[in-house]
Amino acid sequence: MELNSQPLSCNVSSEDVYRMLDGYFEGVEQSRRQSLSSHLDSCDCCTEVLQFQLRLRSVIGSGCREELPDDVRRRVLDSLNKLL
Amino acid sequence: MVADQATFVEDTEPFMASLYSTAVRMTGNRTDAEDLVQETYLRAYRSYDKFQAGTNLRAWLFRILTNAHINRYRARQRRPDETELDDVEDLYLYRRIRDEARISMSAEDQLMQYFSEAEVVSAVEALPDAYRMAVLLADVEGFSYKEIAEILEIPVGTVMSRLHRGRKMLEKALYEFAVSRGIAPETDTAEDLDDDPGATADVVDTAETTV
Ligand SMILES: [Zn+2]
Repeated sequence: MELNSQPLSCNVSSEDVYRMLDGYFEGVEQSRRQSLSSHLDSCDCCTEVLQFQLRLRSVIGSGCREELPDDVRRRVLDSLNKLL
Repeated sequence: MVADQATFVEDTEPFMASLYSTAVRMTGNRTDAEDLVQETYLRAYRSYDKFQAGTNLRAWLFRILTNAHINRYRARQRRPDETELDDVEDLYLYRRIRDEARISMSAEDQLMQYFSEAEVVSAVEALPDAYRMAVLLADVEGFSYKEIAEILEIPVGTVMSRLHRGRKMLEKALYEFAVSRGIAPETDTAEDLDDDPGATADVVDTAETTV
């Protein structure tokens, strides 16, 4: 990932922040993964960033969600029932 | 074991709400979203015998949805302007709000007060198609990188790159809303950003850089 930013004040890279956020550690050695996870347990800085990103994600998620209207659901099911 | 068409409706109906919600954000309006969901269900029904029962049905349906969307709107797909994001830092919003503006963000509803739902929607809908799909699938629908790679039929590295750029662009747009409402101060980087993010032609995939 081409990251163009300073690491956090605790020196964790933003790439690692994204990895922790998304729970994706493929290609990361087990030992480094463990040291990241124990760092996270005791680092206020990382905790704060991750909490911020998770809150932001939930704001985006709830802003983006659109109710499925009953009539839409019915029309889709009706058109399927014609095929059955 | 293949799936049984007789149970199709029963099997797939639980996913209609999230398919529709994603379709609205992808197409930008409810009429096109309904058409897209309709098409998705018809295509899925016809090829349901090819679905391997026990594998990820939700991801399979989303793959049909995004394929249908891409086929419909291929002509409209434009390449995002890559250079435009070069000056935008990662974790843009966090750094702006936290480090520069020093605004306290201790509670979730405080952040909620920052951005109205309409602003979130408009920031998401302004993203170039390829970025928007990645952001919707990851941050709204909660799919993993691997699932998104299967849904969009692209490598995991490309998923990460699109997601990374999409999130940055989205955070920048949200910050600008906060600036325009006088909640956050203008910064140097906030000025030279963003004219028309999708204005520079072509299909998305050729623009993809590696991770
Ligand atoms: Zn840290």
